[in-house]
Amino acid sequence: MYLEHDGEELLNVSLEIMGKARELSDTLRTELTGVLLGSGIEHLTRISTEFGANKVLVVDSPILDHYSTYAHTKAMAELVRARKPEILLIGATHDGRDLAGRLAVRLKTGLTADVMRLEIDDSGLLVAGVPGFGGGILAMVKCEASRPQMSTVRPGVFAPLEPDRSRMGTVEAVEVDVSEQDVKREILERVVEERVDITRAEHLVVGGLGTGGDLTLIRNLAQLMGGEVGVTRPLADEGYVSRDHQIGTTGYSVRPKVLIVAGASGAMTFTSGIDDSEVIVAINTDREAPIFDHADYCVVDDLFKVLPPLIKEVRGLRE
Amino acid sequence: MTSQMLFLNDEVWERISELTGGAMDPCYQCGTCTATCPWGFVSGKPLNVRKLLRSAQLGVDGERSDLWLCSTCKYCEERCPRQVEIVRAVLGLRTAAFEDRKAPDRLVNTLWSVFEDGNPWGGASRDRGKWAEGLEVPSALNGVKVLLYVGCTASYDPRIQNVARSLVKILRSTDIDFGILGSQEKCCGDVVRSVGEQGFLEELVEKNVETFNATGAETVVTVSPHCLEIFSDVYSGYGAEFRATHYTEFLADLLDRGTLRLSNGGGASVTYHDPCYLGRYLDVYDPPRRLLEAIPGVNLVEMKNSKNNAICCGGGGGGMWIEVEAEKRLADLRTEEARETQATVIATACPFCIINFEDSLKKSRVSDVSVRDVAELVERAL
Amino acid sequence: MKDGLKIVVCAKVVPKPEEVKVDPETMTIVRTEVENELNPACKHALEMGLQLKDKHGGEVILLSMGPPLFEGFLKMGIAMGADDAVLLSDRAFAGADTYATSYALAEAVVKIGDVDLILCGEETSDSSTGQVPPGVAEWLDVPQITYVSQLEIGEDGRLRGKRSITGGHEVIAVHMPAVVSVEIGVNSPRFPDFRRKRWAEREFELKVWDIGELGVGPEMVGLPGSHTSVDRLIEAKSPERLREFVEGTPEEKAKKVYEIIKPYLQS
Repeated sequence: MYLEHDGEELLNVSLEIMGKARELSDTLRTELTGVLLGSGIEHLTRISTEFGANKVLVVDSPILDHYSTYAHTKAMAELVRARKPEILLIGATHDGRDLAGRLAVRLKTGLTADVMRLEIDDSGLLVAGVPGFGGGILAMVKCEASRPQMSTVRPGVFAPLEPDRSRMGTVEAVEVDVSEQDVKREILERVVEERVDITRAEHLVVGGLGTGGDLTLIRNLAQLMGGEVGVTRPLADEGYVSRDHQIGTTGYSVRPKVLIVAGASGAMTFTSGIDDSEVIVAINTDREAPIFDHADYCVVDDLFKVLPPLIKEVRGLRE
Repeated sequence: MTSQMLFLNDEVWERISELTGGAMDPCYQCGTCTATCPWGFVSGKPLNVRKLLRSAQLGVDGERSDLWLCSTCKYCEERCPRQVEIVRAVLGLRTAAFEDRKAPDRLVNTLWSVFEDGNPWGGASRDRGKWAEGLEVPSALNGVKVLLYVGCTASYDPRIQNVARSLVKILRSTDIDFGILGSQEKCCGDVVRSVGEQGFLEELVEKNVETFNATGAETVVTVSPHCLEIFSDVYSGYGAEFRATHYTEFLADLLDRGTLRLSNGGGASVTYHDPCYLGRYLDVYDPPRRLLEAIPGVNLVEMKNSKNNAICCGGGGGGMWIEVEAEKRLADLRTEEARETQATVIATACPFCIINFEDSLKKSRVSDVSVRDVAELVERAL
Repeated sequence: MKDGLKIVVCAKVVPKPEEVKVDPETMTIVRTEVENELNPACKHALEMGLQLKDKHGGEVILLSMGPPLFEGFLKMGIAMGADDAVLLSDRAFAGADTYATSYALAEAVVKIGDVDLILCGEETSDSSTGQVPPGVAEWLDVPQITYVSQLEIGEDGRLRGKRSITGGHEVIAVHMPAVVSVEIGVNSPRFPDFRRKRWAEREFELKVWDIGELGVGPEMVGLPGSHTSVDRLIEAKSPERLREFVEGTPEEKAKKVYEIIKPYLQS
C-alpha cells in the first residue's frame, strides 16, 4: 500500500488502511508492504511497522519531496513492476486519487474508487465496495484478470490497529529511476492553513436562534470534531460570526460529512444549504420543527443540555 | 469631487433604449424617486433611482450594485410626477447587465434552478407535489374549471405549504370544481424576469401557457401575487385562454355570493399588509380586507402606510436571494409599523412577505405578534 | 503564445441525484427514462474553459461519451458558449469502466488534434470515481493538475492551477498540453443563451463518432476494454433522510449521537 504523509507524519488514512490491509493480508496469507516516497522520511518507517506493515520500502530522495504526479507515478510503477503485489491500496485523498488514477492506466489494471468496504471472496479475489450512485447503493466491484487489483480507500471508514511496538518488520531502502526531469511541475505556492471556507469543511456544527447568540458550545464541539462553525442568517446578522459562516439561500451551501444543527427551526431558506450533508443530526426543543424533516437523527431537547455531554464524549475520542 | 469622463456609445445607448422600451424618456431627473424610495428609510444611503434612470437615458451600462437592490415595489412610481415606468427601466438595465454577465451569482443560480428543476429554491422537481400528500386534490390535468396555481414557494417551503393546504380546505368547503398541477407545475417565471433574462423566460411562459390552456381552465387562481402579476402582464400576450386572479379576489367573490361562509372566530386585532405586487401593481386592496372583516371577532386596523402606500417587505425583484445587512432590512420597517397598531396578527397575502416578516420578528425576538396568511385565517373561520 | 487556446471540456450527463438507480440486470446505471442533468462538476469545468476563452481567445469543444440522449445537453453547453461538441456514441462503448472510458476520450482528443488544454469535472455525481481525468492524462502522456479551483495562463505560457490538498492548497505550474480536473462549486456557470440554444437545437450539428470513426478496436473500449466489473449491489443508506428520533435523557441522547458520528470523525 501507498503510505501518504505530510512530511512530518503519516496521514490518518494511511494508518486506517494499514489496519484493514493487515486483515486482508492475513486472510490471503501474504505480506503487507508499505511504500514511503519522500525526502527525509526515515522517521516514518518505524511507525509503519507498528501499525501493521511487514515490510516498508523507503525511497528517500529530494526529488520526491512534495507530491508530484509524474515522479511519484514513475516511482510507484517501477516498484510495483519489480515487486508484483496482488493488491495495491492508496488513500482516497486528493493526491492519492491523482496518483492512483494515473498509475492504474500505466499499469493497465483495474482501479476502484473511494471504497468503503474491502473483502476477499472465495477465489481469493479482492471485492471492493464502491459508494456513489446517489449514496443509496454500494457496488461490489472486482478486478478479475489484471494485477495489481487497485483501490483508493475512503478516509474515515476503517480503523487503524493499535500500534504494536513489538511488531517487527523489515525496512528496505530502495532506489528508483527518477530524476529532476521526471517532476514536470513546479510548485509556485503552498499554503497549509486556510481562511474559513465552510463549503469545504469536513464537518459542521451549526447554531441557530435557539442558541440565543451564545456559540460557545457550538465552537467547542466544532473544534473537537475538526470541523467548522456554521450559523443561520439571524446569527450572522447579529454579528456573532462573520458571514463566512452563514448557511442558506443568501449564505453558503455546504456538504460536510457530519452536520449537527442546534437551535434552528429549519426554515427552507436555511435547509436548502444543508441538504448535501452526509449525516445530519438536529437538536431542537420543538418536536414539530421543520428541521427534523431534513435530519437523519432527531433530538428533541434543549441544546444546552445535550451539547455538553456530547462535547465530553468527543473530547474523550480525541484523547 | 473628481469627475470622471463619461464616454457615451451610440450602440450601447440603442441597446439600453430597446431593452427598457424607452421607459426612462419622460424622466426629468427631479429626484422624487430617490427621496421616497423606502431604502432611504432603512439604509444610510438611499437607492439612487434617479441616477439609474439617468444612466438609462445616457445609455450607460455596467456594474452597479444598487441596480440589484431594487425590490421593484413601485413605491417610487406611485409618486413620480411624470409617471415614468421606473421598474421597466430598471429591468431593462438588468437585462443589459445580465447579458454582460454582471448579474449577481446567486440570482444566476436561481435561473439554473428554475431551468433544471422548475423552481428557484433548489427543490427536486419530483417533490413539488408533496405538500398535497394525503389531501387528495384532483389533478387539473384531467380537465378542470378552476386551476389552483400553487407556485414554487408554497410548494417547497414548509411554512408556506400551510397556506396552500388552507386554500385547498377553503375551496373544498365551497364545492367549486378545482384542481392542481401537482408535480407537473412549473415556476411562473417571476424571478427569471427579475434577473433580466429573456430567452429562457419566453420558453417558460410558452410552455406554461400551453399547459394551462390544456387543462381547459377558465380561471387560474394564484397563491402568490407575483405569479398573478406575471400571468396578467406577460402570459396574456402569449395566447393565454384563461383569466388569472388572486385567491383573495376569488374568495371575496365567493363570500359575496354566499358560497363561502365564515362562522368561527376568536377575538383578534389584525392589521393587513398590502403586498406590493397585489396592491400597487394590480390594485387589489379591498378583497383581502373584506375577507378579514367577515371573520367573526376580527378587528381590522390599518397601519400608518397602507394600501398604495404600503412599504415593501423586500422580497420582490429577486430580493429573496440578495443578502442585505441586518440593520437595513425593509421588512423591519414594516413590522415596526405593524406593531405600532397594537395588532396581534399581521395578515398578508404573499409568501415572500410572510417569510420576511417572520424573519424580522424572529430577529427582534418579538413573540407577541404573529404573521398569518389571509388564507390561514379564513380557514380557521370556516 | 499562439492565437488563442484550443480547449476540450470532457462532460458527462448523469441522472439527477434523486433519480440515480442501478439496473440490477446489467449492473449499470439507468440513464433512460430518468431525469438527467449535466454533471455539476463538468458544468464548472465548462465555465472555466469559457472564461479562459473569454480572456485568451480560441475555442471550446465539448467531448462526451454516451447514448444519443446526451445530445440535448451538449447543445445546452453550446448555448452556454462552447463552439463545438463531439459525442462518442456506439453500443461498443457501453459498460466501460474508467480505464476504457479514459482511453476512448483520450483517443478522441488526439483525433480532435492540436488541443492545448483538457478540462474535466473532478468527478461525476453518479459513479464518483474521479479517475477519468488522470487516466486521460496518462493515455495522452501529458501533465495533470487535479482538484483545481483557479486556473490561469502565466506570462511564461505555462498553466498555473490552484489545487486543494489536505489542509490547504498549492499552486503548481505545468506546461501545456495538460489535463485539469475542476472542483465543484469553484465558479458560477453562466446561464445558457436561449437564442443560441434554439439555434443549436434547430441548426447546429454536433459531431457523433462511432467506434469506426474514432478508429479504435472494440477490445479497447466498453466492457471488453474494462478491467473492473460489478459483482453485486448492496443497498447502502437510502438517500432520504432517516428522521430517526433519538430518545432518552439528555446524557443518553448525547451518547447515542456520539456513537453515530464517531465513525465519521476518525480520519
